[in-house]
Amino acid sequence: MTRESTRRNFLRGSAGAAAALGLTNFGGVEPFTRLAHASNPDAPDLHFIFCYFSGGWDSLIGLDPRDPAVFTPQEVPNTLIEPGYHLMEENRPGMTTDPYTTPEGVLLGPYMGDLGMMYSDRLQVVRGIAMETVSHGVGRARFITGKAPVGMNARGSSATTWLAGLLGQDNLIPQLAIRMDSYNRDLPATASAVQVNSVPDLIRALGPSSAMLPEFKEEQVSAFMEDQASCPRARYSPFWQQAETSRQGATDLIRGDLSNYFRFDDNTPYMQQIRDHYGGGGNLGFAQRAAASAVEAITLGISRAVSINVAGGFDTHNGVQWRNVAGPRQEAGWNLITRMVEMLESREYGETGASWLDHTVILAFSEFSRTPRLNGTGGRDHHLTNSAALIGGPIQGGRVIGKSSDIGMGSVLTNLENGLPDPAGEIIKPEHIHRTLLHMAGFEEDVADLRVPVIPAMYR
Amino acid sequence: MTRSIALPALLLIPLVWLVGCESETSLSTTPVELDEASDVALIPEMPEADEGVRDRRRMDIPQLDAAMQVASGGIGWTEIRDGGEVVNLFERLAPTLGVPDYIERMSLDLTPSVVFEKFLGDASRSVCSAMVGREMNGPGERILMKHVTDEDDWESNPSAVDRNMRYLLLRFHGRNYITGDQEMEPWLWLFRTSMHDGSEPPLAWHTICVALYTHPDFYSY
Repeated sequence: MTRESTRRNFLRGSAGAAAALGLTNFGGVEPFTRLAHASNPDAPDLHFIFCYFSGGWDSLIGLDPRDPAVFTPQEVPNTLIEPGYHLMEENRPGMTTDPYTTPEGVLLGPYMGDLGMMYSDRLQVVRGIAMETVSHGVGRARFITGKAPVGMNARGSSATTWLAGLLGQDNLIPQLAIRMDSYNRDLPATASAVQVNSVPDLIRALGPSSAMLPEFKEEQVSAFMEDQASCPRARYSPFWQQAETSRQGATDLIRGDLSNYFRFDDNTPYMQQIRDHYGGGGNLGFAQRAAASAVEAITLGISRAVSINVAGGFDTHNGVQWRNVAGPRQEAGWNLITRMVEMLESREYGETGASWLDHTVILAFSEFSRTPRLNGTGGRDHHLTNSAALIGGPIQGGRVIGKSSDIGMGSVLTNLENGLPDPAGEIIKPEHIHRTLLHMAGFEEDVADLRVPVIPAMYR
Repeated sequence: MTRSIALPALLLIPLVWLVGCESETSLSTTPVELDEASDVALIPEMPEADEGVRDRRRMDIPQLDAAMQVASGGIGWTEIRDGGEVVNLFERLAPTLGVPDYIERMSLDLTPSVVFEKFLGDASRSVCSAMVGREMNGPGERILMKHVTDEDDWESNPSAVDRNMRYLLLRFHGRNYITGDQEMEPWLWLFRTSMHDGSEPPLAWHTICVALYTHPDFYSY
């Protein structure tokens, strides 16, 4: 299947329309900033979108499948892996439920959607990631931060917080999180995410109050609050100082009046194009709005790092659930990421000839995976060994990093230089990926205290 | 607002630093016995942040909602939807304001984040606007202007303004000041300067109301 050149041309046109509508370079913010603190100043200027599949996805039908001709039902006692693809055929009439091999030689599951078909040359798969937990909250915090939480409490800052804090000084909202947890344990409050539960809430957060005081009064209140925060009682309170920083940030948001960039229901040609692209012309759902917001926030220079919840409902312990919804929901998530990739690819990064996809890394992840064997109801329970997908920026596509074992899908020692199994290698964990993302962005030292090496195979 | 009014008034803003924000931490000298072996500073060092004191903690959203309604005399942050349904916006926006659902979010976010500050500001402006409207248009309970008339200002009735301000600071922040307390001066300054552009006293009290609600002394403890 070839990529849809007509769609891409259309999207290029829409980017031009955005510029014509004044939807770029808002408020004088310049998205093409160089890195202020990077140890490698020659590193590419990168942006990040983290896409979360909530509930614990099934890697066997997505990123880490097995050949059903080899992993047969008869072999299950030996392999401890039960792909069960034939059980999903009933709900996928006229389409195969078997895995397929991409032109680059990567085996992908049947529910990888358009991403596997259209962008296999840019898609990188990381397999055999050890999560060390099968608890939803712990796994989520673990993947977001790259550090084992204390109980359910995240112990470190989110990777997006580090990336936004280190790279996003010139972005009005360095970090945006839509229905996603984000933690800031290490960096100034300015690196903290603007965290909202939905795009309508984001619009409300970015817009002016419905009962603003006259402008002069607003300025007086602001000056008064700033003065109060400089008093000794306030100066010795980290809470008060953070509150004042946030209050000023909120004031800046109102002044920026960014809400118009996310009003996807507006009856304008630009927003119609957005609706057409992400929703086929119909109204956008939650995840589609989140995906559109992520791309707009990045490409308009509003944000440096965005995390969104692209798909959910994967906690399919029950067999009926697993057969009916695990696949279609995962496919919907991958299709949505494909739409984001298309939009990023269609927009030129400044006047460089490169696309925004060349300067944006998308990371897709879930808190853990699901057991390779079906349980008593025909569903799948929680499994320690996970996978992730990356695309964009300097990520080397068409490549697999790491491996899960062919017996029970455990994590396999991996040579980080070439990404291949190696008894002298090490087990890949989420922190390896975060460390590598920071490295690619120019931070060669371990600024986030992740205490693992980079994975050179991800970007060479 | 015209520039001619705004400019001289804005020039007054730096004066707030001159009037002093609140009473400075006492720097009184500590008597010590000096001898040949000791060379001590007579002014004790200021404590570092977090040293020996508990930092403030933010109210959670139900607490904040309740506290705003108590202070306002029953007015909450609401919105009327099509069809007349009254929606409590603190409840509607709870997930965005960090209230856990124990499915996607397991922990309660009590940080004074940008989004929290934005919505606190929205809530304050909405509630204060309703309070001023209630007090100017009806015979109901007066809270913002309990001890003043709609015409009283600093020039005409400073004692009433002072009394009203002390009442508001006690009601909103739980701080019981006496007349002339240095910590009241910034609030009185805000009231006085709020009228420099020719505003009527109720708008000045409206401004004070917003500052009271958005001040950390209201929403943290």
